[in-house]
Amino acid sequence: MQTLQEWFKFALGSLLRNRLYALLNIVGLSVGIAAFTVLFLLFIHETQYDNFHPHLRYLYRITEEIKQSGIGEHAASVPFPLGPTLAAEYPHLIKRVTRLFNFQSPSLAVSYGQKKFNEQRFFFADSSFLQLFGFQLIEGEASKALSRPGSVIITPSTAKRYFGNSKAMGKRLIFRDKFTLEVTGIVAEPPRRSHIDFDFIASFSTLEQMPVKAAFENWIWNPCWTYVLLDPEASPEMVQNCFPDFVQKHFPGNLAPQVKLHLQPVRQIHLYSDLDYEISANGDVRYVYIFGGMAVFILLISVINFTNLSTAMASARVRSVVIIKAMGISRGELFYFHLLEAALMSSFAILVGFVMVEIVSPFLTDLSGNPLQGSVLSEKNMLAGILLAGICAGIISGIYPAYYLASFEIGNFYQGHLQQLHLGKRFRNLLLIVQFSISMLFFIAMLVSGKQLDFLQNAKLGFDKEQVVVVPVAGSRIVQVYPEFKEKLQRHEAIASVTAMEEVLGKSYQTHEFYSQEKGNQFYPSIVVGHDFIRTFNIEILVGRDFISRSGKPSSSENDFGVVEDMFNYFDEDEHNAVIINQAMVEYMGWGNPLNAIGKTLSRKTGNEKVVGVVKNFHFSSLHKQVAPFVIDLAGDNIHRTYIKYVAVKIKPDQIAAGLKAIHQVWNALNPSQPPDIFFLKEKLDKLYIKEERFKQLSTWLTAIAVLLACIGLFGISSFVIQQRRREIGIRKAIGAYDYQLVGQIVFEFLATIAISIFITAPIGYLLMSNWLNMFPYRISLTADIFLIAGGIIILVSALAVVHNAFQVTRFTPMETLAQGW
Amino acid sequence: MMNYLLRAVNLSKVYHNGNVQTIALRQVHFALQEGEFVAITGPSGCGKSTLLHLLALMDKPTGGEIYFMHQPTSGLSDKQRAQIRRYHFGFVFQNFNLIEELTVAENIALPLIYQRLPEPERKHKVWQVMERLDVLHKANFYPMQLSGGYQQRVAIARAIVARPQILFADEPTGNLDSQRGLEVMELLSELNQQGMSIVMVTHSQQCVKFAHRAVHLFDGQIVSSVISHLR
Ligand SMILES: Nc1ncnc2c1ncn2[C@@H]1O[C@H](COP(=O)(O)OP(=O)(O)O)[C@@H](O)[C@H]1O
Ligand SMILES: [Mg+2]
Repeated sequence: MQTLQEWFKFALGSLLRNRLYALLNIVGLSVGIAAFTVLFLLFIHETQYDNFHPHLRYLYRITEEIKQSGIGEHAASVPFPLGPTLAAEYPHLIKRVTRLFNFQSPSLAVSYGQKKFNEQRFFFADSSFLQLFGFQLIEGEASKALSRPGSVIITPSTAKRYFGNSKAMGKRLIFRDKFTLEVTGIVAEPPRRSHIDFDFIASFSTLEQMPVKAAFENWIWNPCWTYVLLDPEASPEMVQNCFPDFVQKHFPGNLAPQVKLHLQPVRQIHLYSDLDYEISANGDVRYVYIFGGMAVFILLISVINFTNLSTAMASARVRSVVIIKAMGISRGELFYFHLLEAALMSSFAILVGFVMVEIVSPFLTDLSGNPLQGSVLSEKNMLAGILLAGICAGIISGIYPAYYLASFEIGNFYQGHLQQLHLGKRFRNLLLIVQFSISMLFFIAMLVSGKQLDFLQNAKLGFDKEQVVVVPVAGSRIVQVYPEFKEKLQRHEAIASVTAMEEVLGKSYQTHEFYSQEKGNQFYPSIVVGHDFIRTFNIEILVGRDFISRSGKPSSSENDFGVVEDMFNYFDEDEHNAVIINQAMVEYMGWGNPLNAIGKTLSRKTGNEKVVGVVKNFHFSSLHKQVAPFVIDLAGDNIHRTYIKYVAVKIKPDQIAAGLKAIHQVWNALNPSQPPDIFFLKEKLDKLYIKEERFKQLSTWLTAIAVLLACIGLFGISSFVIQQRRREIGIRKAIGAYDYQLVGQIVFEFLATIAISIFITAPIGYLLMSNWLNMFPYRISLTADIFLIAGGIIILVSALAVVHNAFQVTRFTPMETLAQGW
Repeated sequence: MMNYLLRAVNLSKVYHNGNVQTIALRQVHFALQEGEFVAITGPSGCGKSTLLHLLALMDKPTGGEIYFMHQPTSGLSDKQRAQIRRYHFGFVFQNFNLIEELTVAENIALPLIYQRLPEPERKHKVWQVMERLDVLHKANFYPMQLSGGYQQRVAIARAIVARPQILFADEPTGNLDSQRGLEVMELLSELNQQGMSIVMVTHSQQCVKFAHRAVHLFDGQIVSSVISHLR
């Protein structure tokens, strides 16, 4: 005890004398721990999705693949009747089924008195919803809440938004201006790790009052996310095996051969599912691995750092340690005291790290950009785990310096000293190489992901996304008065053109069935649009013409897209007689020259469509997907109501403000009861790359941290090494070495080590990043400049870290150098 | 005016160590003629080594001036001082100061490396001097593997390998038996006869006899300068 006390006095004094190193050491470890913790939070967040459902093992989603020769869709949702029919036919396999439906609409209008909102997290669900999933009712009865038509359950925050502090139960909300929904339950906010994220769940039976009821027996339209709870006795394979017969029995004859149903475990949806019409953007297991790897790496860097700096500090103590030993502290005690000190320092660093995490946590978001809201303190197990890991890390990184110090004794100072010198050097170089390799790797990841993101966001899509404003209109009155809406908008001088479409171009699309002589009936990626679509988006027509309105002329006055009317004037009603296709479709059909495609049949069930134009390929969905055959179909007046979900308005350059004002004015004149919900197309499309954006942000931060930590470590280790080589340097000076030669030699030796790590890491980085880039069909190529920039900057920054210490060499005469420490 | 190669005027040196001040030299005058062999003697702690270090431009005096070939050195840059050490001086340290990570041969080659002598010539010279000092069989040993006597001879070899104009030697025979000591002294006087000027610190009367002149130092001051009777 006596000795321990002595030690503490000594250690404290030594820490105070080496304030800078002590500070760097603690800051380095705490920053490392903080970064590790954040990554770990992300890791936990992404891997713990949907695990709150009580019967998770038996919980599956049914997905529908409609494909022929690779063209078509794999939808996360299925037709209305599928779920109930399946449950009815296989009661021994399927215990429960529930469907979610939201009109495939980006938002649904809900009002209460004067309060009107476009709600994005509104679903209709079967009454079994609360039994199937683990969502908890706070008020109301789970067994009844969703059984009657016109019932809705809402979350507390939603209740507050509409009703303030007054009681929500029994209150009546108005859905889409018409339908009354009575609040029959308050449901706890869905856990943030849920792929189903809602504010409202309305009873499915409510839909029976609406026109959509017509689709209840329709096996083609597939808008219902359908979940089943399997009987514990039933295996998913047993259910899968029933699917072919089931499809054969119920799907229309022409569709059935193309349809495949799948069972998808709910626990895998978030990380593994990337289907068409996902209920919300999912994560990606590849990024989870990446985070995990980064977490380990950053921890490794900071542990190495701690080792380096502790060694540097230990070396400053050598002399005092010899004295201390003379005072009667044994070698073993010395070793343990040093470890104890390391453990104390690392615990302190961890606490500081946690404080840092708490400070940044409000700004943390997950891969999809949703706030993480994660407090370290809320993850008790994790807290304990990191605490333990950190202290272990501290102890592990304290072992070498402790050993180094304890090994000094007056007697054996010279004996075996040389061996240790060489061993120590190799060990230090190894640590440096590991640190800088990791930094280099992060750096490469940062540059590559940045470049790729830039490429994705600025790639030529083949259509205009600038100046285009999108107005969701589904379910609003605007759909019925669309011609008037368009007419009024076009009259405004800030507005260049107006069109309508069923999906947001560039983000999503539908698949519709078309008949061709070549392929018979088949589903193709396609979009149903209004007039002026090609013009609004400035899509290049290769051959043929744009759609023409009934008057025989394009609906807008300017005729700037080269209509070849003479050739094609026999198409009198484009609504029923014309489609436009892309080049990929021409190739898929084997029509050869696009000119051959003109006049070919590609018809809907209700029409007699022929190809009137071929456009250049454009990216109708995100650049994560290869351009596929695509059909642009003009909506007829009679089907406007279901197909027109968005109005796209192109505003003239420099008149954005005036254009937006015009849209609001016209909307409010025609549909005063509901606010418009306008967005810029470019902003929406940029969000397609949110994961890449987050990856870039993360790797930027981590690169900064890694390089900083590595340089702090390098600073420490170089001061240590120069300290150790003091004698040698003094001798060289005495013999006549110039200061710049010595500085150069020291800097060069360090930079050589770092250059080695750069050379080791460049090919590894190349492999890993090519692997990452392979996720994208459209990607940048990995050019040498990426590696040169990363390597160059790392060399530069590390030179800065070494140079300061190296210049100590120049401060003293040879004898001063030989005589004393710095 | 005499043709002094090296001359010190009013040299003083004060060491500051925390609050402790040690006056190691006070107002010392010293002069070395071209081709001269001077021995510096005196009791332990009187400032011999300090004087030698200052003369060899390895440390800066607190006061006074040192002239090398009539040029004052106090205004020289660190690089210019290093240049003089590199091309004109050789130094044998009292505690040898060999570089532990380098072998005997590599240690000896150092001055030639800094003079940028081409490799073959360098090898030849190193080999010659090693033979001369009888350390050839230890060429690939590390200093720590050698006895004090050997280390001292290696240190001497390193100091003379480049044939400096002035050799400074701090007790070059202190770790040698009398036979070896004699051999070294004979080597030094041979070098001296070939034109090398030598300033040597020594305790031993035997060694003083080899010098032209002995300077006696006491408590940081020169108390006498005696021309050797042997010559
Ligand atoms: N680097 C130093 N710092 C402080 N004092 C020193 C230093 N070097 C020598 N001294 C002191 O200066 C005096 C002269 O030392 P030195 O020149 O080594 O004597 P000598 O070589 O004659 O034995 C001694 O008192 C010694 O303690
Ligand atoms: Mg001495």
